[in-house]
Amino acid sequence: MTTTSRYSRPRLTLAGGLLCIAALCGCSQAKGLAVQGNMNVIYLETAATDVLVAQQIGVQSKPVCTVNGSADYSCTGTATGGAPIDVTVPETAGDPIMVITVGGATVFTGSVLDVIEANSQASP
Amino acid sequence: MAGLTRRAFLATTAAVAGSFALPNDLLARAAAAPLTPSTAPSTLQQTIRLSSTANLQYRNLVTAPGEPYNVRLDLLGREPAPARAASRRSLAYLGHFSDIHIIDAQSPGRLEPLIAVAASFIDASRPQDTMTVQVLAQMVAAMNALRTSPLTGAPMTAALNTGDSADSRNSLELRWCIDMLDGEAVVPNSGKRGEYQGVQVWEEADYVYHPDNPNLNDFGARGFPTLPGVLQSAVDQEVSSVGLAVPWYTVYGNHDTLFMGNIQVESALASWAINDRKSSLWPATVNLMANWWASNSSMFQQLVNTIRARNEFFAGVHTVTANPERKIFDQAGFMQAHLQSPALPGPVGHGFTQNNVDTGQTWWKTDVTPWLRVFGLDTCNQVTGADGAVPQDQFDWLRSELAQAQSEKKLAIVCSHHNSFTLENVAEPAIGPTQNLVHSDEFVAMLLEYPSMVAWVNGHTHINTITAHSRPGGGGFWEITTASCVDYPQQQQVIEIVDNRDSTLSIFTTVVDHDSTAQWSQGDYSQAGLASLSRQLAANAWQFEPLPRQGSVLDRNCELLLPAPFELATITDAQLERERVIARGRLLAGDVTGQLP
Repeated sequence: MTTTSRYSRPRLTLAGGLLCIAALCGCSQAKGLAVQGNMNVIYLETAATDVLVAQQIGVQSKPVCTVNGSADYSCTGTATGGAPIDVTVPETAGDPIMVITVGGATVFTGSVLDVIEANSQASP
Repeated sequence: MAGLTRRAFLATTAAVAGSFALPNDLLARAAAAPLTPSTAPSTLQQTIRLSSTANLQYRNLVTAPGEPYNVRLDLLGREPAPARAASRRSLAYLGHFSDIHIIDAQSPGRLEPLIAVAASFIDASRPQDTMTVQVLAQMVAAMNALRTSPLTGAPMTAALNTGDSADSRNSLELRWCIDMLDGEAVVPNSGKRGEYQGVQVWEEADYVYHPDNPNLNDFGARGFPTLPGVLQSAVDQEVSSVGLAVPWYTVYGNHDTLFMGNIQVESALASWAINDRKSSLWPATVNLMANWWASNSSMFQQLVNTIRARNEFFAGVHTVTANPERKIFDQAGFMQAHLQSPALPGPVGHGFTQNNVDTGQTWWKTDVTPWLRVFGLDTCNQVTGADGAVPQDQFDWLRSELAQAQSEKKLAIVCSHHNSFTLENVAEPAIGPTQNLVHSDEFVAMLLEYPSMVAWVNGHTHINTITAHSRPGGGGFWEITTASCVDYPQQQQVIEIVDNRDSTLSIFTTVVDHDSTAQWSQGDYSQAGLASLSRQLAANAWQFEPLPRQGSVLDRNCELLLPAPFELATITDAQLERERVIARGRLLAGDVTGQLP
């Protein structure tokens, strides 16, 4: 079943690791597996928000991102004045590309990682 | 609204001076002085960023311009009144620590080879592992420098620590953390003085940074510096701390609950941490695990002996200095450690009381001022997994308490380690007592029922994040997630709640860097120098995704607006002035006794 969640995404590596260690340590068995929040959702929100602020687009509600399944990311927010902010990530493999629209008009298309990289640096 | 009458002011200062053993006239003068915004360093004046060189490998850090407050209207839904800046009054000014992660890198209980097993154990070793105590000491210094607000000049009321104080449930890690916050000096060496005994000097541990010779592995190729003797300096020098000037409160993090934040510990394995064998390689780790496990199982002992007979030597097992103080603490031990603390800055127990230990209730409440109630939750899973949930008993307790706070017209802040992104752990014991675990959606919905609950303060993800949770029909609460002291950018926050006197309330968040230079000077192994070096190493530790962890510009220095949850004029200026005299007396007592710099 495909689930839509802002909060959770099972990490197979994590679950596998836990099972392995639990067996080694003789830990109590657990019903259900722990899952870890999807940090990519936060990173995407961070990058999209920084683009909007850098473009001096007033933000009424900061974009909130969700992931449908493992790779279908999208975010929604509201610009000052009420225009909807939408963020999609049509390309998630390798260097993820995000597209940001405000009121239906595209204001940014580009690499999520490039935005994060640029904003971590001191201005030249 | 009128403040204290002259007579009431004098009576208050006399009483407060007496309680803090201060000269009455000294406190009276200080309390009568107008509030002046602090100019102590914060990210309002200066930030730290990566140098923008063309070399995208190892990079230095440099200073960058400060960031002003950004106004966030997500919950107000309209433009705020410009006049609020002139009319605002401070209701509470708080420090926020989270994810301090003190690490005893020499402990056999720190299983660095687990990095090779699962991605979830990547934090079993960081390049800056040996410098966590220095970072905390310098963070406490930075927080103390900001003991009056950079916005209003109001004195700090309290500090909140939202968990992961210790990294590996090591009692020494927890002690060092408490001592730094309380203002006690420590030597962060659990082994032999004059020597560092750990994976960062054992050459076969090819997955970690070796400061004496980074070219042993990929760290050298990435430009990590050669730092001869830095590990020994880090563990051998006494680290001093000024201690916090205000009462501080704490909650459990997953690293304070589960071994390495992820797994339960059996008693046989727990003894490992205090013993004298430490592994540097995964097969050796398995061998050590088997040895301790075998001590409880005669059949298993036979198997181990058989394996031993075939493999006399397991590479990667080192003899280190045993230390019983490294013992893995249990749930009660965490609270007991906090009860072993001085009266100042207090409170003894830092939120926990002997009653908590006796009953096993791992959550608490406290009124940090007569109008602000803080709730400390334990959202950690006792079974497995880094992430959390709210057990049904705490959920019911908090719901009842928030209803009470609402009826008493008290503002409320909820503290927990986990945030709304990570409150989704479903692990329960397969056998034995259990209870329903409440997850994020239901928990947020419950908090939204109580307008006086204005902020949920937490950590866990090591990234500055501010999330608006809106209530249908208007309003809501702000969720403030603070980064960590261990991963880049090694930042914490101060938080101030102000009454705008126009039926709105603002929460100001100000990000704080620890008190050390942005650019590390080669060879500076002083306390502040090691803290600076730690931040630089963390910024370059690519495995930890350091760059996005500062959050967006709307997650850092912000004014977070929301409708006032009740008529805030019920908090009178006289009450505010009285509490301010108490807070000033506390800070002054710290100055007079030399506790503060």
